[in-house]
Amino acid sequence: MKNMWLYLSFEGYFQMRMATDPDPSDEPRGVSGYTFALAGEPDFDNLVHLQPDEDGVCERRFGYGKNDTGPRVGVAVRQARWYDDETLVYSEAPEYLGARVSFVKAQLTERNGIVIRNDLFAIDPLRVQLRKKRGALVLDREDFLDPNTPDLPITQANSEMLERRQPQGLTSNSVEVAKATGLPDASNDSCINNRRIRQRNLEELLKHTRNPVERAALQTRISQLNILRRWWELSQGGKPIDRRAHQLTLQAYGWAVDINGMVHVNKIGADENTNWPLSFWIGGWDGDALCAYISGYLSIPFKSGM
Amino acid sequence: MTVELTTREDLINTLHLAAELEHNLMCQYLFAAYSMKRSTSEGLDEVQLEKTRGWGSLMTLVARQEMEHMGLVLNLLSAIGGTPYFQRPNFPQREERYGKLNIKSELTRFDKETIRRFQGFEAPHPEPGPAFCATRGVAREDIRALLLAPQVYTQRPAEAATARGAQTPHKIEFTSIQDLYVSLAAGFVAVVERIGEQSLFIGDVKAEIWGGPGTPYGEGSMDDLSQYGLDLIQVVDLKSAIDAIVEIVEQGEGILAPPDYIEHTHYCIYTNMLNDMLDEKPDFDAARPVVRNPLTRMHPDITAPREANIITRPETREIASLFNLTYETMLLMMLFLYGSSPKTKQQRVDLMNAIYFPLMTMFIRPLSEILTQLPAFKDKRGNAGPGFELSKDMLILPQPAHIWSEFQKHFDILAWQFDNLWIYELRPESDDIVKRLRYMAENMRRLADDWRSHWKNVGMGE
Repeated sequence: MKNMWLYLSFEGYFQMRMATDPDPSDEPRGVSGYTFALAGEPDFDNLVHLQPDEDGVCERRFGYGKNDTGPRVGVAVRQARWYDDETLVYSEAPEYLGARVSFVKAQLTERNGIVIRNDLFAIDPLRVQLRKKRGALVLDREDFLDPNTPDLPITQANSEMLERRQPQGLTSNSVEVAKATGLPDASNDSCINNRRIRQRNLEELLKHTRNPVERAALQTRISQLNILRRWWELSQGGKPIDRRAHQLTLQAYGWAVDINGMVHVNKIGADENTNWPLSFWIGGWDGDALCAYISGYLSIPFKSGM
Repeated sequence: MTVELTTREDLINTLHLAAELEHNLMCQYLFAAYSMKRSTSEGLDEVQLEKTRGWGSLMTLVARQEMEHMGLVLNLLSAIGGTPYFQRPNFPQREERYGKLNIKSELTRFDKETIRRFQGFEAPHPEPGPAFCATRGVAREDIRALLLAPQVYTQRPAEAATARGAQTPHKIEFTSIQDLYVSLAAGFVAVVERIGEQSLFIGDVKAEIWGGPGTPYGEGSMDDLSQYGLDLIQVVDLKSAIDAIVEIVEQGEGILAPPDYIEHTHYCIYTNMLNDMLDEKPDFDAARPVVRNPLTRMHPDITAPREANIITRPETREIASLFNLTYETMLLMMLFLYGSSPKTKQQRVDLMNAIYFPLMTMFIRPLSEILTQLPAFKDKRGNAGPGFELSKDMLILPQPAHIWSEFQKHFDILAWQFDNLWIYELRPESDDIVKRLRYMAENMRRLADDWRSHWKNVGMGE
């Protein structure tokens, strides 16, 4: 039987409105970390939103007029190709260009060291959907931490199960991230400069903002963007760049999950008996926008050609 | 005005007092921070909620830095052969408990009176004028010079050196926290001059917990403490001892703070916060109606019993007891972590992995916030809060060979208690407080299981 694969390369910004440590992971608005649900915004939902029209997305303004530039949520297929593993030939699949990828109710979970340590967040739950450009849902499949216990909560997963859902590691000052998000380079100076520009743009926006609720939110964001290097003179050397800036080029790389669970929607005849490999990296976390960049591949097998 | 410290014992006793005070203030600050309203459903508008959250952020930063100060004091103790010290009397205590220091030990909700009290704790002496927080401080090298300059002593701390113990109030001659630390700095210099640096710094440096680049506990957040506004110094000699003390007085009182830091000092944070609060409308109440000193029971070491409020609502009292057990477990683990009994590096990392993020951030704080939402009494108004209660015999460690299983027992008991709270029968599963407790129950079970598996992994079986 002839085997075909549909390789979809997707990327874009997603939003994740979540508290950051040392806030507890179920903190609804942010207090002691550096991410906040601001005045006029709903509580955090902790969900990974790859599409702007998902419930819970709350996009912010980044400046006044032409300076309102920053991450805009939307993860779409940028490259789509068929691969024939008999002839080893690739061919374009233009009908999938611009298709929208979603992770349904996914969270990046750590629980402050209870489930995962050292910021190597596990993604859970993991359910992937693909919608054609005009919105029709064509694929929907979930992954199980343990196929023998589909309802297993992450707090009962063993380390092997967790590692399937974790990145391989973290890279600081990632050139790949800088390139994807449009930073001139991956240096700390570029990260700090980016935050300073954002701060200036927000200060300009504040001048044109009369609504007291919006002003209160902007003032919090502006004051947070003041913290780019820790003010404290460290005894052990140097003044490290603050995470508010550092994470603009931090990359969590090497997520690779062979989606193994129930297929809920399959309108393109994909092989449901084979796992669907999903791989991606996440980086460029912008704590002011509560957005980060994702870039990855979804590989979909077909048993008998197109 | 400084108190003359001339022996190792003087230094150790004064450091014990410093540890007790940092612990005490940290609890008071956390109590106030956790009493703050968190939602517009609690009677705040959006702008007030944002303002409240900002104050809460600052309160928790200051409390974290009090924990850091306690950590620095523990490192100073370890460095000179002292033992870790986690004792303190239960709240509330009369002001006389700390002699001339004028530290009122009580747990009160966030309001102007409370912030004014905190401002007083952190005040430089002599108290500066109103423009102080807008002015620039002095350079770091000048701070060292000031601390190392010959001091004019007014007292010897004879009583402080002999009458330790949380049960018995004793005479304390220090006139302020600043005075205590300045005396300590001078004391370190004096003792080094008398017996030599090598003879003073005889402690087990492995018992110290320190962060920043090069820390042996680099896996995790210890190499990155500055992200949390913290810097834990390793104390190995006179220079690092003075550095640790400088850090404490810079961050706290700020009278010696370097340029650009003055507004971040605890004194100025509280001063500016109080000014902010005074500018707000009188009916803006940022805190929940939390009663003073809510306790599960009266403790024999309390010197102001009339100011205590015993929680009588059973389901609230049960959660307050759970909070106290979690807090005691955390302190017990810290006592072992900072103690000099032999531990592998992995065991130290395991302890830190259990304490610093999970216990502190995922249990102590959420339980505190829940308590401030729950009624304290059966028959009158007022919410409860975390009492930070210590039983008389807590902080007694079993033999090292049994300590790992003792911690396991604590985690298993906590997991069982989280699973079996009475409040689950009184409120629907959809209730936000119940949902949060269920989340903590899941997490505590995970922590207990994790501890068990680590125990096997590191070969610490019987």
